[in-house]
Amino acid sequence: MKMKTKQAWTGFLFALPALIGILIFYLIPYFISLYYGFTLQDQFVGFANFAALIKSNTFWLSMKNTAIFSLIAIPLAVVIPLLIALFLSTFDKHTSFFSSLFLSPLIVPIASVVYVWQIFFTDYGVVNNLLQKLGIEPVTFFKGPWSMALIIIIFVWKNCAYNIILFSAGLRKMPRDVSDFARLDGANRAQVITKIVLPLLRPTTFFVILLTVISSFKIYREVYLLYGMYPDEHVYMIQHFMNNNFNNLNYPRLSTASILLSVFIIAAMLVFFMIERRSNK
Amino acid sequence: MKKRIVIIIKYAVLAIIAILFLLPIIYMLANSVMTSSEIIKAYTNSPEHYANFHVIPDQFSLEQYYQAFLRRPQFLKMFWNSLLITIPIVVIQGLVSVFAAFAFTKLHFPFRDALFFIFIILLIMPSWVTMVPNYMMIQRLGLLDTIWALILPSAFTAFGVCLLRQFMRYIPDETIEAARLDGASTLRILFKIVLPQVKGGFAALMILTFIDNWNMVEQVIIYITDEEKYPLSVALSSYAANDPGVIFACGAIFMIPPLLLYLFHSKEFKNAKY
Amino acid sequence: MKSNTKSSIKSAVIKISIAFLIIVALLTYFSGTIDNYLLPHVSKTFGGEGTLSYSLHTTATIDPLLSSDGSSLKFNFICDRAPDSFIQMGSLVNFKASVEAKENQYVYRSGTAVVVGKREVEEGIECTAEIKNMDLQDGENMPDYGETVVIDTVFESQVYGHILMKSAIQSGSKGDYVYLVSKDKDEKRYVHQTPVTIIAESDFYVAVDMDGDLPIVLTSSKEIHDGQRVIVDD
Repeated sequence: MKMKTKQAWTGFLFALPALIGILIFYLIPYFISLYYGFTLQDQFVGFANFAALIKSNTFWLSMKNTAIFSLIAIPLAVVIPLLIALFLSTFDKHTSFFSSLFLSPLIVPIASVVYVWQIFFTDYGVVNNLLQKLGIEPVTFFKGPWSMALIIIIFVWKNCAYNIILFSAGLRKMPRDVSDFARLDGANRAQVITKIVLPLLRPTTFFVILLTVISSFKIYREVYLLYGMYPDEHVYMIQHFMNNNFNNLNYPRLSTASILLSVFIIAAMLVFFMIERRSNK
Repeated sequence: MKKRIVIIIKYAVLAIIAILFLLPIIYMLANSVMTSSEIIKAYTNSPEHYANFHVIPDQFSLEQYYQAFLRRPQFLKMFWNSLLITIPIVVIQGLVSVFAAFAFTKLHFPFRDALFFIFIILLIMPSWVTMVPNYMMIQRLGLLDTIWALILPSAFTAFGVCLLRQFMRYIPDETIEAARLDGASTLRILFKIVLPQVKGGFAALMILTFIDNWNMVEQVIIYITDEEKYPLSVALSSYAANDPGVIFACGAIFMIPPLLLYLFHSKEFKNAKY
Repeated sequence: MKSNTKSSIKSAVIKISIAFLIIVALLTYFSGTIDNYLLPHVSKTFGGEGTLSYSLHTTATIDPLLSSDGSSLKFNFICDRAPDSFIQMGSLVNFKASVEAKENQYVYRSGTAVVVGKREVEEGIECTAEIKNMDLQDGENMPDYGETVVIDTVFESQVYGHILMKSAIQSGSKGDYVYLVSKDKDEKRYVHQTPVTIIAESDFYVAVDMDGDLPIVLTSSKEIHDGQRVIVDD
């Protein structure tokens, strides 16, 4: 019994620094922002701030763009690495060298390659040069709907790397004889993958999706470095909306948006974990 | 024979994928050994003159590196800004996370799972949610426009705790119980038994945290107004506009610290059991 | 064996990192010294008000066909480099007619002619100038038809706001620009690119349209770029 309480104390002590940090910088100020969310000039106004936010066009524009981006980029950044990892698993050797090459987009800082992207994708850049030579109409990647495509390309390029490593590790963990037995039973390769490999890979896939979602929230960095504070309306993200409100220190608006988005994300996360739990059964 | 052709095709596909991944980086490195005038000439483009794919230098020159290292004190200063922000974050995050993850995985204390649930929620919170609370606390502590505004919130994220916990889960409880029965203290168990087994996870945490904060953008432009304190992750892009002749060398130099850290940990990182 | 190579990679990485950081630290710490040693020295100028001038040396022949009435003589000459705006109707042209030998002395019959016409030809601008009787200064006689006159004259432009030496003007992808020298709060001098538009130019000077009245970099000992610190030689 005494042992138990001692362990409880050490456990609590070990967790304490992290808890204090989280408490100071995230939890306490979150409750302060709740106060701002429901007041206007120190007057309790109920949900008036939320109503004002929901009426804001820029908020919905940023929501729409972020949603479009997430719905296209995240699946791509999960499926492409999965395919590459499956492809790599067919090799008997030498893939370690290649997988460390694939990691380089992750390691290279965004700011270092941003200028290369600019040269490739500006109106008279390398890509349009190629398109023109192929007889295709040049595309404006820095204006209009194609700017979203550019952002998605960059995101997939950057995030494939780590996901390949994760999928490869997941495949390596898989007992080889399972698929060998299946093959002996006369199953073809496609059947082995869809019926045996993918279900076994499910926990890894959920982990990969989670990490990809987290990094998709950071796409603002690329957008900011390529387009600046006030980008084309097709790549105006939620972070832009927040930052533009930071600039005029609109606390009620910021707090309201922060609260609303946090509730939305917690809800989405619960759904995600419920799907994960159900699929594990 | 047929098998050999299949193998050749497979390696060719692999090479194409590798080139696609590496192209922007090769491009940057190749352009960093061109003269400034060559770069400016190659990329001043107009409807009549599209930029060409230009990876082979007309003339090999270390001019850009010379310029970056010796003639741009501003660049070097901002390089240190980046290091001064990133290293404390990685150290604090690493230390705090090892203890907390161990506590949340292998030690039992009241409300443990409830408290950990907060970490899971925080893990997924994007910066557009957390920056508002962060800002309010930073402002109240009077840390705005100091590098602590960048270091402290980023050092105490949930990422490290959650990642390390993912690795520590695979350590069997029996190992720890056995060590405890041998009279080992909890600290000793953590450093002699648990940590060596999650080396890969720790390497991943170091590398990912370093890279993430080496790329810090959104916090900088909100919390910091004095451009002298900007890290390179933000300042480099304004360089590109004013001083395109040296941008590739600057980018290449900026890449060195994360690359070294990755090389240092590469074995553990790749072989980690996720 | 395997762990051996692994640890050798690690120690190599540590050594490289330390060396890299020390080098960067030293370069940062001594950046002031290095800068002063390597800083370009520039000379400055103020672009003041003034005119541009264009000097012309050529010859012409008095043309009988042009000089139809007897009271005046006319000749054509080619002005090959001067901008069109310098030569106005009524611009004065100094000329010397053929020499006369008088007691071992050469006497020029010189005077001033007036431009009365101009047109563009392949070689430049062909001007017609007229000599009136009273314009002749020394000699008694007017030059004869077919006689060669030596033209040695200077055309002046209108007054421009900013006249600069040509060496101050740089050309870049975005057009012409000059470097202005400004001081920061620590009395350090920096150069800044400012775009300029060239209105007119002569052999060594240009008239430009620009903002600001800061000193302008005239020459530099090394290549300079926007925002560069410099040392100004006074």
